[in-house]
Amino acid sequence: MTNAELELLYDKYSGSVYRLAFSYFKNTADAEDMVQEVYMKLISADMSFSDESAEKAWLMTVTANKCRDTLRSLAYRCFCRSVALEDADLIYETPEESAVHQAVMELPPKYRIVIHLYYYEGYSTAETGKILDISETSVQTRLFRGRNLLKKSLGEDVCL
Amino acid sequence: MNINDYKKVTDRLSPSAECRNEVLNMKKKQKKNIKLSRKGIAVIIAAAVTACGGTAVYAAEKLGAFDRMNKTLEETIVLSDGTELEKDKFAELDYNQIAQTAQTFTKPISFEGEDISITIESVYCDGYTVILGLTGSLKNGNPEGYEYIPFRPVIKLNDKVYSDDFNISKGVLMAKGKLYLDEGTENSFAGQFQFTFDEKNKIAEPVDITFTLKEFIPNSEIYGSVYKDMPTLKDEFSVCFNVAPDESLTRRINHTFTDSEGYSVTIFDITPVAMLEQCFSSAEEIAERNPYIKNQSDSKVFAVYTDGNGKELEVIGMHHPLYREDGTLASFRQPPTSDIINIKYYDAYHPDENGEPAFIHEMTIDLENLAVIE
Repeated sequence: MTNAELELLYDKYSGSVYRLAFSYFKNTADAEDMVQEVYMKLISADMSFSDESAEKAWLMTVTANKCRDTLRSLAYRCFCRSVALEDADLIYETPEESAVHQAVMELPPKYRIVIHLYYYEGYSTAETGKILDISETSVQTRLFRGRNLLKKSLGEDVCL
Repeated sequence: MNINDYKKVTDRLSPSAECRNEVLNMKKKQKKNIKLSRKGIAVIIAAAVTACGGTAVYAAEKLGAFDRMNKTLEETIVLSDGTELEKDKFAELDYNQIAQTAQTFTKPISFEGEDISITIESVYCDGYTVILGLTGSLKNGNPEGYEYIPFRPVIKLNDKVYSDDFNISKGVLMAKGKLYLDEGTENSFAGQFQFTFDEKNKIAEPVDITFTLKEFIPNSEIYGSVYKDMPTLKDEFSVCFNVAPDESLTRRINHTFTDSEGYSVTIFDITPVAMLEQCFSSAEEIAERNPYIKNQSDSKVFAVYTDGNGKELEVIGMHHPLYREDGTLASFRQPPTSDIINIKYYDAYHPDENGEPAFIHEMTIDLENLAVIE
């Protein structure tokens, strides 16, 4: 992989990688660390991809795996930087944005991540399942339960 | 409310320019190991996990069986009669930690029987506790839709044989083995079998373990309900392998914390799986060497432990209290996630005005400084 190719891949997908990592960690520092780890893996794996969808899917899968591993690690759990969500440089332009975003971020991780991948990134349930290494049925179940929790949290239906 | 509100906020999130420079510089400088691994505890190999009579190289990869158990245990488990069991009944142990710290066989030990295939993929061993990670599937499919298959193996450690649930007098406690149906699958199971030793009998050196599975436990033995019969096991499954304890998993405290009113707690060892401890409620009871365990019917005082991160450290049901050399009982609790532990004592025989066990005393201990925080 040349420097130019890396730069292209970074500018194309770092935002998605960062946002997925942010949905796991809920803070900017850990999300940026994860971006660096994922791209380090890309460099060392020296991958070549058949098309753009394969490129992005690989990066998202690696991100999800590494985020999950990190959250499970004893070191992270003992020494994690618990930055409050409001300190994470988030910008809310309306009260609705604040309410919905915070409600999603307060979901348990397994619901929050599928909602992010399905609704924000636009992946199908099958594609989401492949990224998270779970069955499509599990994705559907988690989307269903996540939506119900959002409805309960916001006190009304969320238009999806 | 609209999910687009979530999208709008998320669209505004992006990594910093500094992050971009770091990544692009990685390639330019050919640096491959800039960031420290976040994996925390490295999987430390105390000794190669070998098959008896042979050798196999240890593989430091994440374990399938325990990871799959952790996913399964996130949901409720539905037995064949429709009874739902809450995950808390089974998730006393932290399978995240077990997955991180167990040892994998590079050549998993498999058994292909007439009615079931079982593989022992991995083993966790800290000396006190041995947990085998297993996967399996029923050879003729799973038309009955079983989600939970318990079993009771016979274990032989070197020359000692254990075949019952309770061997407390022998210094060993064996829990039932369990296989759970993977979420979203029809016939893919992952599970574990564990046994726990007391201090006198804990594994200190590599040991040969023979694992023999003769039968599944009929459902009628479980929780008093009658279910459809479990599949019978036509073949006997017996394998032998050598396991070494990973001493690095044990944090040795071995300290008695006593406050000014004579309440005390002794913390012995802490592993990723459990904390071995004893708790005494007063100077008189210390003299009587009488430990109190929550929910024990003949106890009058029990203690609730909470760590500095707010996690309640429950007594682990599958790790029944074990006798120490002095004849007293020590309990296994969930391990703390911080060095600060708060212990609240309650009197079950003298409830408060709300009918709840009366709060009688509190102490806080610091494991790092081995001190009572008054």
